[in-house]
Amino acid sequence: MQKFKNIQFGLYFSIIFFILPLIFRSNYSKYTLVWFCIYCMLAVSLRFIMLVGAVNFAHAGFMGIGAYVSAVLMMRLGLSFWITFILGALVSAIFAAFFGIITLRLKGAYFFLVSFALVEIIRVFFSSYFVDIFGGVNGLIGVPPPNGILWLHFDAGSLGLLYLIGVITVLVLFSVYLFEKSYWGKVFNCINESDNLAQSIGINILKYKVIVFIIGCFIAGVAGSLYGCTNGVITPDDFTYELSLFLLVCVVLGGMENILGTVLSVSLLVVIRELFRSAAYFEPIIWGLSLILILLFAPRGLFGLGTNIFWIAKSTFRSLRKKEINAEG
Amino acid sequence: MDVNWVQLILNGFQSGAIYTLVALGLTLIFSIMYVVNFAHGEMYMLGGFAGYFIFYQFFINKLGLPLTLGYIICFIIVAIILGLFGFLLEKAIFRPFRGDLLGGLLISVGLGEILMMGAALCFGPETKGVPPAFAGKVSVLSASLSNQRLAVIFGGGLVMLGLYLFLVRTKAGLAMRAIAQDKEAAESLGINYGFTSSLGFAIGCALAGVAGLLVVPATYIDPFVGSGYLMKAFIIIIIGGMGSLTGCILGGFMVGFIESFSSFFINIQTGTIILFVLVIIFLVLRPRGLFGRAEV
Repeated sequence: MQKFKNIQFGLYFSIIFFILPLIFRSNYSKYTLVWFCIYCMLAVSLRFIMLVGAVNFAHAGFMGIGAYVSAVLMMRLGLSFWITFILGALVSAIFAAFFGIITLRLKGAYFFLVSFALVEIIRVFFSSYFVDIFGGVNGLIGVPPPNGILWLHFDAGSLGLLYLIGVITVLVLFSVYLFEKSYWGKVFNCINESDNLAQSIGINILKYKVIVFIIGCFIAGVAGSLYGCTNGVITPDDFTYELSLFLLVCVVLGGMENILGTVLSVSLLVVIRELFRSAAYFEPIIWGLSLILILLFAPRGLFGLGTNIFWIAKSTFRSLRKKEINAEG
Repeated sequence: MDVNWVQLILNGFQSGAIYTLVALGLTLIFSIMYVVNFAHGEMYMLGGFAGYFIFYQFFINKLGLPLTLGYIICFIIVAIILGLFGFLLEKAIFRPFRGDLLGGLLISVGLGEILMMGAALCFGPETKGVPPAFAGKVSVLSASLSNQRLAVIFGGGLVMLGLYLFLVRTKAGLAMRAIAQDKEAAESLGINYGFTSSLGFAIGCALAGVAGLLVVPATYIDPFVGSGYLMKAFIIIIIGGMGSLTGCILGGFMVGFIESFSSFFINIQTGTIILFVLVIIFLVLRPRGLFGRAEV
């Protein structure tokens, strides 16, 4: 029943999403919706990796690998977008496999520390090595949009590109959802609860963790190449730790229980971000503050917030009653 | 190519001392609270800014104190201010997250962002320099070293010695080591875990702040330096082993030397990549670092 409800809700959400650009026809709203899609993909894939208890700070870096590989193949070799965006995501996934096999076997904090270092390393690599290929600090300018198929056109800022990205996002979210509801999802839950216990009943933790990590980074790579096509420009500074932080806030706000929580929190945060566009300087402060407040007062995220308020009300009511009883007695 | 080995070694000692101080605070906090403090680089940055405002703007420009005296007074003030700041932070924010790795990690990331951008708003994003507190130069063999850089090495060494004596000789230090070994057993023997972890956090922050103050007259300070030092501290901790002070010191000087040599022979970016490769090699061959305990 719950499963059916979730799917129904997701369906409504995507129908609303696909109608929105027909009502708000300005370029600005189109771009906002595209950012929403890309952040959705990234946040959902980050949450997917966090299901097995690994916080991937390098998520923005893997997105950057996807974006760079796909853009370089398109611009330097003239390949079609439909090949390069798969190739970009594949390279990102292969890199994730190498990195994951080494680092995911470690317990404790090591994975977080190394992924924090990795995102900086990826930025340094793209900004100071192979300048004639990756364009150095200035990045790549003039990434072409996807080439049209038959009568469909996907030029930058067109309705076609928006719908293309929308369809890819819905497909990605739906497959992640199904994956999570399958047998695998239960294994992830088990690993997250107690990996020692999971190991003792014969689950190969490393295998599952690496697979989850590869899938998550593949999605990040897809999002990266779509980002490159939409923006037309990619620079090494687009894929820093700041972006990972934003994604992390999305995931934490959305809570770990439900994929819809992440989607809702992304839409909320994208709106907030657009409202505070003029105060871009304050942005990290807002994210930092919201992260602290969420963790202190609603550790289970948006969906947890309701239960949390309920619980606070209940406990204050109870303590008030206790006082009354004490006063009477 | 004419290579000045002595100069390179001295440079390595200087940056190694600073990295070690930052990483020591981080590993101290980790071993007591099991929290990786992502806001640690910002503590370093705050220490540097305290050096700029208290030492340079107030002591030198306003009061007209002699450079060296003002510097030493400022040193003590910075340690106390950042210690208090860390103590309050631990009580206010980190208390629910003692022993919770993921929660503590996320909350300190948020804190770090606030401190960094807050500093950029309050102090301005441009880089600031401070005149050297110890003028003059010494020449060691073929190398020449400004007294300020010598002070960084010696000051760092003194602080490390002080930390060692604190941990070994005092009761509070004993409590910290006991909690690092076994939290439950230490608590059952009557050690106040809450106070000890606040104190550990305070000392960690003070160490980072002092490191910032030591460096600022030799280089510069801006609100965004923190994350670079934080990354170096992470690398040191992985190489030296989580929660090990000896490993931390050894790893710190190792990173300092690698950076000094690679920035001379190749360039600074390649130095960062070499460090990362080293970390990966360590993770494959010896995941618990040089002196770290194997995690259960």
